[in-house]
Amino acid sequence: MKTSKLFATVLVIVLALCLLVGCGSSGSGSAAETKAETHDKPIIDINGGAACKMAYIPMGAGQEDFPVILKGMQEAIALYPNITLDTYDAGFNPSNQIDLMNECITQGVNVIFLNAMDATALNSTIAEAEETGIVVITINNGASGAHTAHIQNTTYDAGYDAAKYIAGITGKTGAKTVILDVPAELKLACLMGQGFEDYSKETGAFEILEDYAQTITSIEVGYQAASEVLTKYKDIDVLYCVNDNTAIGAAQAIDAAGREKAGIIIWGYSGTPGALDAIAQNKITGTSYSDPFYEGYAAMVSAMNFVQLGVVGAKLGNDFYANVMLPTKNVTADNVLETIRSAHWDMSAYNY
Amino acid sequence: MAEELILRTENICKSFNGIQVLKNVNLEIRKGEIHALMGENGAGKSTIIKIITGVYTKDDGEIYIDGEHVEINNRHDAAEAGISVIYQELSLVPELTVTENIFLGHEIMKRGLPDKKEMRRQVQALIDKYGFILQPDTLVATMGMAQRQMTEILKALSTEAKLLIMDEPTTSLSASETEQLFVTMEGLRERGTSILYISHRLEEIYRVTDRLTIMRNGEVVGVVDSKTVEADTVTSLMIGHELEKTGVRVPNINPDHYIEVKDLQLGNLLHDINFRAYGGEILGIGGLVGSGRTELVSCIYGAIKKYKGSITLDGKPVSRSVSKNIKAGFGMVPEDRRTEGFFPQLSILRNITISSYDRLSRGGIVNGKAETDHAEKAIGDYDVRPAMRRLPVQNLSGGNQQKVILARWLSRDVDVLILDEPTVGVDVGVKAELYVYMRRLADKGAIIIMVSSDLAELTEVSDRVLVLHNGTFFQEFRDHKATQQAVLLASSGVAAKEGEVL
Amino acid sequence: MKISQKFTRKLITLGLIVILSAIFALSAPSFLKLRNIQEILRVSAYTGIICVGVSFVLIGGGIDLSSGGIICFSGIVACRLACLGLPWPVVLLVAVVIGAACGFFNGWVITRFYLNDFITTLATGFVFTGFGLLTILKDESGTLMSQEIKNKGFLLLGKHISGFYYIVIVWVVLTLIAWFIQTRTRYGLHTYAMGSNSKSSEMSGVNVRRMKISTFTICGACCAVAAVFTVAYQTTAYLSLGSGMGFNAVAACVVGGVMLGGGKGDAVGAFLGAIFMTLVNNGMYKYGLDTSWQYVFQGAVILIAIMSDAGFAAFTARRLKALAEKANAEEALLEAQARAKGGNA
Repeated sequence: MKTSKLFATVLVIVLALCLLVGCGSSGSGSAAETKAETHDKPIIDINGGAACKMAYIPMGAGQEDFPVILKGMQEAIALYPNITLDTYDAGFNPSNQIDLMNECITQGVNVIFLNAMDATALNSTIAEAEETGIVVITINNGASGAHTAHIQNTTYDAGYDAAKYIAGITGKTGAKTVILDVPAELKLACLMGQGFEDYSKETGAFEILEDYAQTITSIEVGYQAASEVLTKYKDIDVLYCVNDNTAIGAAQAIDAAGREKAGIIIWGYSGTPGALDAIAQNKITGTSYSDPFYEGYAAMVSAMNFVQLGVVGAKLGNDFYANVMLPTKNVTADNVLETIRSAHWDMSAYNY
Repeated sequence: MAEELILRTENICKSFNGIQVLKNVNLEIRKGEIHALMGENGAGKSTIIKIITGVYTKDDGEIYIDGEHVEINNRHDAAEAGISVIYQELSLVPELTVTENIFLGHEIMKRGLPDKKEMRRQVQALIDKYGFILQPDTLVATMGMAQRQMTEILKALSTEAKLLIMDEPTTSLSASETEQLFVTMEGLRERGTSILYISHRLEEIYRVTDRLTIMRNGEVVGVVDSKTVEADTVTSLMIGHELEKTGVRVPNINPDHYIEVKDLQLGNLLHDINFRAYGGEILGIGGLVGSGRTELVSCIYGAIKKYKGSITLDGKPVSRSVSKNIKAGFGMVPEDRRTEGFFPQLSILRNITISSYDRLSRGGIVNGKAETDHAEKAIGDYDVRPAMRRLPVQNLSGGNQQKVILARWLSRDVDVLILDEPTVGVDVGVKAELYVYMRRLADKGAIIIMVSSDLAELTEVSDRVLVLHNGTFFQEFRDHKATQQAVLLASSGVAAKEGEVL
Repeated sequence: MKISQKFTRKLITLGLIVILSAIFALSAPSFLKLRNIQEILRVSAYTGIICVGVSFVLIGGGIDLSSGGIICFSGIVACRLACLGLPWPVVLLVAVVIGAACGFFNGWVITRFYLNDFITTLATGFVFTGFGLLTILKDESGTLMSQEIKNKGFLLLGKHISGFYYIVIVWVVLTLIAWFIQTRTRYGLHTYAMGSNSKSSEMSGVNVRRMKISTFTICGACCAVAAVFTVAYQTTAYLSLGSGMGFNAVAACVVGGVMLGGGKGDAVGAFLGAIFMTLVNNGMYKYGLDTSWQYVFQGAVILIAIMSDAGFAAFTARRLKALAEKANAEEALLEAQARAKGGNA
């Protein structure tokens, strides 16, 4: 899949959703039809050149994909001098995020983008923001309370597609596989493992030896988990990891174990700079790649549409209004260089 | 000049804030002798030492080392001149070995790294030369006090010191350790090192020194040969002209009101302490610094709890809790008012009332007016200056700080008052005032126990003096019979004819 | 004559607050909005209630960095109890008892084993956070669950009454009570004595050990109160609740004139310090500064506050010294005159 194609898909999905919302009152059967509150006129007439204030509150300035998401947002408003976007650093503390939400409400911003630190703690401020007519959009890390939209990369489909791709490489049934999965409480939000297992069940391409849950996603933890798995099972064909750091750690563990590297397929998720580099160097086989740039872009385009159409998700019931799932693509050594060239990540630390 | 002089000072003068503390001090120390320096507290011993070692600069006078004129402006100059000091508190690092301590700060380097072998070799050579009982690799933390002192001496010798100054080196040593140190000192003398030895203890002076310089009020009052001089001569030189007693007061002693201490024992410091202190009298406790005086009164007050024996007030046991004792009418003016007496940032008012909230508060809530009245009255009664109750006590002079602490107790009419060095750093005028307040309290029938190193104060103010020596009472002086000389002799374990040996 | 040093010191913090507010009000239009002021007060109250407790410990010559851990533990307990549907007074009481117990433990460990407050409370802070982790809701596989409180009565604690959040009212009341205790009761005055010189207070009959334990206990209880109201506002408790609050509260107290090392300052100062710290944060957001510059700005303003404190301390010391000298000289003069007169007569 070409990048431009991916981009186009994103836009189509976003626009479709927004249209759906716009016609919410007349539509039927979807989530949008519930009690969608639509205004006759825009919250802010962005296209008419009226000033619109937006704020982005990531978990903290150190959040890895924050600069890339921000780049995507800025790209989307490049042609709108009337839109301002400020960012705030919550220092990975839910209390600070609450204070910052309040600050944004006080300042009277029109849109708040949020990577929520806690799914519950921010609910009351989110509700307050929406009641005052602010569009709240969560990215990747959502909140359980009602708000206008949530944007994230697909997880179930990513797992399913990766399984399909890996089955193509192994070309056999019953390939011995261990999934290095997220802990149970995150399984509802991170369905990669589920997608992978479902594909396996449908086709019998894999024999899942273990669904290994690990609590922290870091290279060290991936290394330890993989080492443990490698000593436990003599024969492994596939290590499916639900994030990139785990995959990189697993590759190091295999190196350390001195086994034939080519024999084991290692797969990651999300496509961080480190993972792309590892793929280019043949350390890991592949990853379900997505560019956070498009999350930012999609979030911003959605926001602009909601504002222009006069839609705020408050009072829509207990669930968020629009759930935007962005597709991922399988990146392996075959297409990694092309991907790196088009990626919006800061790859300056690597020589490409 | 008959003998070669290692150190000669000529007319050294020094003043602090316009008060002259040294007047034309001439000190002569010969090569290879142990020379003692004696004098009462405040005689100027430590000031002259600090000038020789470069801690203070002299106002006037000259210093000659080996007959050559030298300028000593800082510690470095003194070290260059070959003068080393062994302080009371040793400056060794316990976590390092003997060798590491000796070379600390001037390690022998080889290719950028300390040359441990060479350093060890040099230390071993030094040990062999002086015949010390030491191992170069022993950790200082594992050694006894005497050995630590040897290490300190070795450290001084390693820099080729010609003159060692030892300031009260035996205060923290046991009898056998002291003897060990003396043997070491004698060994050094044989090898030509001079030692300037500062001590209060007469018996040590006789035991180990050759000559003796005595100072009084910032002046040298005598240089004598230690081997031949009489103890009386030394003490009278130290004290000077004994003041005539200004009429003997007859204290109105109440024989039914007393504190009794029976068979008190505290670690190795105090043993077999038995005495009574009666209402109406001021009981003085004398003895050398470190003889256990402070600890003895701390036991009575309850600040030290782990003693053996019994302390009773009118037959009832005295509590081992300070707050209970205060409620029962006790009060204490501690030795070091800065660390144990007052509260520097708090006002005069709070410093006075702090122990009286049992009376000034109801249900825990302080009656502001009563508190102010109490403090104002005390400030007036005991003439605290400046009479500003909100002024933090750290801004007062030493004498007025002491008045505040005294006022804290006197204002609540204490029944038992313990004073530990009540007039250190207090000027003469205020001193006399404090004595009046103490006397007035005694006349009201209170029990007063006063510890003091100031012999004039001890003999003048107390109605009765008990002298501590070697951890127990050595002599008692009744009916104002104590003279400064007698007390000083008794402190060193020499029985004076005025007192009864206990 | 009057030496109203304590009052003047508060004027400095107050002055800084006014200056900062003026700058923000002039340059950021949203600053003076009613909602913003409510928000500043709400956030200040959270820090401020902790500061009330911390001020006791600091005045008594100690330091408590475990506040964050106590908030975390007692907050999570409160959240779990509230989810069980218990009425709010019960939840509040249990949380406060737990907070006080944590504080008591701090004081007991420090006095019993003669430990250093700084390191000990840093360590116990981790322990209490660990207790929080043990208490927090988990599913069968042991993973943490975010629990939303639906207990209407309890959630009331997080609400406001005509614009005044309950936490703000509690903050003001607690500050006044603490101020009364510190300046008008035997207990409070003994705290100052202990902070000024603990050896002297022992010699003056203050039970230093008991006092020290009690200051830590008060601090723990205050942390729990802050935690309960914050949990009610946020409708949940999570593991990072209270993180960073230990240092923050100490800093706020110091800005408000409570002296590190003890003996000086009071709860009203800590009150102002809490407002100051919140104000700095709040105002900073208004400028849309780069994150790195936000930190620099925040640090710089706190530095200015501490520096003016030091400057004031030096100034007062000089002034008091001059005052004492002058008074002495005057009295000496009067005395000389009196003596001269007496001589003439």
